[in-house]
Amino acid sequence: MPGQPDVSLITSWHAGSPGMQDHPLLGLVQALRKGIGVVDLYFLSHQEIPWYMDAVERALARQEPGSPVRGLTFRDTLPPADYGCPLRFAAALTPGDITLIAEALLDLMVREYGGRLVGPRPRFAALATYWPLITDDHVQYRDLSIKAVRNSLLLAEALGCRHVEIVGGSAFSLTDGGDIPEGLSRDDYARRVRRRRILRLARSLTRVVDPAAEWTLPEDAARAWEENGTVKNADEPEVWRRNPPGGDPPNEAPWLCLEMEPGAAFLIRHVKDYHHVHQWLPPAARPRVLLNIDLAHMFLARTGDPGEPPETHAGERQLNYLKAHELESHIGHFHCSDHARTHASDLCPGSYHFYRPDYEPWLKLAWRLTGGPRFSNAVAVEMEACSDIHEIQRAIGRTQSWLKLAGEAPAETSETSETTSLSVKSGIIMAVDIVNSTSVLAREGVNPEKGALRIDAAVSALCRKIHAHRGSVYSFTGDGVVAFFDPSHFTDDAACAHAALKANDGLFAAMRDGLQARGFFGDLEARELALRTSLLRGAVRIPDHGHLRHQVLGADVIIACRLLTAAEPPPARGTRKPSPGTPKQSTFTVISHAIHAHVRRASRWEWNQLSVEMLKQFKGLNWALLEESLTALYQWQPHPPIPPRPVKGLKKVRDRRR
Amino acid sequence: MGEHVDPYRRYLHYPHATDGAAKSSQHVDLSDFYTGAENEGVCREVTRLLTAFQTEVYYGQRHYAACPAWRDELTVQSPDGEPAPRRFAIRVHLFERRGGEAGRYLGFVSLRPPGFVPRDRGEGDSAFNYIIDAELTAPKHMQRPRYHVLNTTAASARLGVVPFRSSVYSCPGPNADRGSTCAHLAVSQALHLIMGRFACRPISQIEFDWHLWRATAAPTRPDWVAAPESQSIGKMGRRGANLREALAVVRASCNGGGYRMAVEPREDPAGLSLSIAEKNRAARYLTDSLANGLPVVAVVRTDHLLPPAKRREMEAEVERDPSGDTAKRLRAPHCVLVLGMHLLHSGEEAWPEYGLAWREPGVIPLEDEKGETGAGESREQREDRAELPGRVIIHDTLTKGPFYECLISDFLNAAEAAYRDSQGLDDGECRGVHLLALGPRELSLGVPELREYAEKTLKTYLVGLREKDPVPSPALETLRAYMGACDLSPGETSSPDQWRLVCRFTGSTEVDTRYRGMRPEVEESPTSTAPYFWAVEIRHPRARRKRPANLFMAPAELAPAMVLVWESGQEDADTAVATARALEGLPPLRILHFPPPSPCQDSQM
Repeated sequence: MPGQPDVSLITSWHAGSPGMQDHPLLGLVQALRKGIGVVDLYFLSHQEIPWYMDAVERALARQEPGSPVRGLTFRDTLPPADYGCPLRFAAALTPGDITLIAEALLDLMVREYGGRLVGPRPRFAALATYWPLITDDHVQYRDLSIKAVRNSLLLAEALGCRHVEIVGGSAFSLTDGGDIPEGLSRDDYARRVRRRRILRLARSLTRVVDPAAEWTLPEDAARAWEENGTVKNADEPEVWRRNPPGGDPPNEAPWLCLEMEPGAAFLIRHVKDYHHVHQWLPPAARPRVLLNIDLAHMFLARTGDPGEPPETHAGERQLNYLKAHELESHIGHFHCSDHARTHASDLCPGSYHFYRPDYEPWLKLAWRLTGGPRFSNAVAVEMEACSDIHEIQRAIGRTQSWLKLAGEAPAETSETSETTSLSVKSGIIMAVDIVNSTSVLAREGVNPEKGALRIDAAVSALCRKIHAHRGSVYSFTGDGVVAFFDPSHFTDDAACAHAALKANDGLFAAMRDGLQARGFFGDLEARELALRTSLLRGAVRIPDHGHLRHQVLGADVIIACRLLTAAEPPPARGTRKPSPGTPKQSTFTVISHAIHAHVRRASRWEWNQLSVEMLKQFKGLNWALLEESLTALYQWQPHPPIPPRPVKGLKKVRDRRR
Repeated sequence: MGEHVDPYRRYLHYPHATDGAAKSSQHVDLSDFYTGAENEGVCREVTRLLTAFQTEVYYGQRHYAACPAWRDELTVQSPDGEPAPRRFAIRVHLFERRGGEAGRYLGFVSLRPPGFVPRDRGEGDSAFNYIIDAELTAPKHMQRPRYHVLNTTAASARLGVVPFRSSVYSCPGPNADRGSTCAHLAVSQALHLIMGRFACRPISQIEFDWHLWRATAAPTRPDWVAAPESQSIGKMGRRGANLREALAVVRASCNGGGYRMAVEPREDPAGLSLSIAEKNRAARYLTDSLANGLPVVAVVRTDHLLPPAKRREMEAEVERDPSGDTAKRLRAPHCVLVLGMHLLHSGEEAWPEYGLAWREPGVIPLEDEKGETGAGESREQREDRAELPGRVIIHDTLTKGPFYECLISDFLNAAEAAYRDSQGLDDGECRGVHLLALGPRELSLGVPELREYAEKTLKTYLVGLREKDPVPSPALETLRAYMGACDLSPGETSSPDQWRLVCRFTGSTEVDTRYRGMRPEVEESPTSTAPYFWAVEIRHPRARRKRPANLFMAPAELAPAMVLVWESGQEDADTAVATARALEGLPPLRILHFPPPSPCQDSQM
């Protein structure tokens, strides 16, 4: 269903000027502190490398004693060139490193986020990269770039985003031109050079998404393309050959989004160049490569060929090409900024081009694409090296207001507003309630202000814990919250269910730590406080604007809240009480059958099914609904100690280190 | 910077956008980006850059920033060593140092990031290794009257800086000193100056070489020149570019246009050097272009722009260098951008035969008390010669830096010397002075051709005036009325040389508004949709209007005798048609004049 895309911010807005080094990841951290919760991570700048290295090494240092990787460092084992250069560093990372980096980034995001905790969670919408040597003449640099792109995809996946923006590199090198065949005009030769590099880019991208195979293209097909621009017709048999045959990699997220850059120096100058790259990808890679629309670049998109029309309406021409060749569904992501006629600094949208006629058709297209299977549902503001947060906020504000304008939302009181202003999502609803909150946190003798501080500390900790597991808190219920886990932020429904349950597991500890940090957790709290939670798979509506903006609505939300009653077992059932000496149970949870189906094998806990008769003992439940659609399960095992989490790919880390 | 009304005060914010000026010690260098010797070297470069400003530098806000030239270099040039240099350049805002604090805002400079190692060159007196380009306001003294310096607010605005009147100065890239660098930089700087007015697009070195390589292909266009052999893009860049090729690149990729101006030594029987009249003509072309806001690219010989002491030093070095490289470098022609001029006000600035004979207060007369020059010619008062430049202001990217001021005589000598060895076979550029003016895409008719056509048209009318029974013509009536109103005798109006031609480069609507009250000779003159026109005002230097009684008369009411209008794009100096037209002339598209016999009536000039 079409909807309003989120507005994201690419973290390259701050390139980390010396003297402003509050944090190595200044673009990310400053944005979060200012409450900008949707960001595209720029991966990777020079000054950020030490932070990434530290993140991995900190995690390795926390490994169990005896672990072969405990305490290993990059600095001990990698040559300085590998950690002084973003390309070499990104290419040298192992899957284990990337997992640790992603965890550190997500942790940083939750810790540093200064915006409202109730509302959409802070998240990474996409990754932005700059590995232009992917088409370089030097094989060594091409290989490094391919590895860097591959690792960027892994990082994106680990961060929960599905799109990685890449660039196509240069259109030529300074050594081109010396081998021009006799009789060939330079314009024709220039086209050949470009086509040759387009094919080279296609090969490199194929190696990114299908590293296990070698794809070959018959020489005559390559020559026909290079010399005559003959593109394979979609109806013709596939010309690429895979070695070994079969075994195509899964064609799913995260996707590579190829960006266009205006100017003769760049390989991908406009949509047509992207189209050619896409046409020359083998079947394994084709679904994985999408188009990144940089609006500022669209307005400047030219071929530079003789006889090209004047530099007006370039954006319109690109849009027309997209429509004529049915490429709209190829769009994975948007970047938004403005340029003057030259490809100079990124500026706030509206600096040189106008909402009408320049931005409007593109933003309307973003609306139409939102909710689509391969779209990021975000428009990322790109203000590279701007360094001024106030200018960044202006750019974000203008993009948001223009997006609203493009959605043409009618008056909120009208009938249609209910359908156009709400986005419907299916996912996991989590309701959380603090047991004994009134008597313990806001108890007698505590003045209202202090009581409010206690609630603040407890609820903030709960929210952050939910954010850490990619859930969003959409409602604050006084002494609890209602959260939502959107499967589109995960690789699949199972991952979403696992994350929700994992968040649930850590809620009480997070609340306890949050209260302790402010001196609010004593014996009474330890004895009396507990959590009731319910996790239910259902459909919700979250308005993206209007008076109930960013609130979660729907019948399933109400059911999830009512299920909290079931989370505390009926007093009549004495068997649920723990035997003396076992730790106090701190979280009482009800989950639905749909969630249980995903987590039953992985869960460390035992689950007991509650019969309808049992459920009927609880007040407030809509029995008719429950009997028909819900099998509720109840867990009552106490929290076991949480063992150190094994890290995937550690063997590779160890091998590499040695 | 004490003035709180100065909008550029914000560029003192440092280190955060919310902080005021930090400790003054942080404004004396760039040690927060560069360290040790690198820091000192970068600061020396910035100081050298601002030589013409004659001030100490106060470094303001600095941060990483986008820079188109640096981006293109990174994209295309295969790396040496580290495959991923820093993506962003460093932008530093510069102020005059006034005591311990910041004074006037000077602009900002883009620097290559720390650790940058130039490939082909070491650090010399004239080399800028770290500076990529700079948006600089004109030095203080160039903001006085009689200076005419081109600048723009568009260049700084596109980089997100509060607009100020600046002229871009670009420095050679990592492959400095190679062939096309100076041509590219001069062209790019010129395009920056006019991009706000004509929507041109500046071009990076990489793009320039790419288009240069294409433009030197087999001549699929009349203005393209065939290269002698197949060469790579890099080699073509190292070979260099002449003005013709530079113009071809501008037309092909920069949404720009322009015209070449050549003055060849035709009066010299040996064809070696320009006569005084020819130099005057070159100065006139230069003036006409600059006065209309069109920057001019010129080719000069390096050693002619060196100050005497430096020149002697270099010549000594030439003698010491057996390889001949120093001599080659010293005598190599290179491109500079002429972006301004200072009107002639001293006889020391020009050669004696320059032709100045202006007696009004405020201008130092060149001739003696008898109104004669040293050559003993009888003189006439020529106000149009008084507006010729005594000095020109150039951006010399290879040797002198920005806003370098030199005498027009030295400049023309340097320009002439650049082509002294030219055989004129390869590139069609013979001995003499060669200039290239850049403007909008629709501009191809140059000042030389324009003046030629105007003179031929005027000559036709003047011949008509002398005839006893001329064919009746509104133009003749107009001229006759103008001469009567201005007390001009037939003897001082018989030749086109005696008239003053003022060339104005105008937009389509400006022709109508500027010459409101004038009407076309032919009411149904052909309409044109061209966006730009050349208007040539026919005036006489000795015109003195009769004033009725003691009525006030504004300068704008000194209307020309007539205005001849040509489309700016209806001519191309490089076509065969143009060659033919140079002989025959090209009639104007429109002729505007006042209804005789009251030339001043209703004039809005």
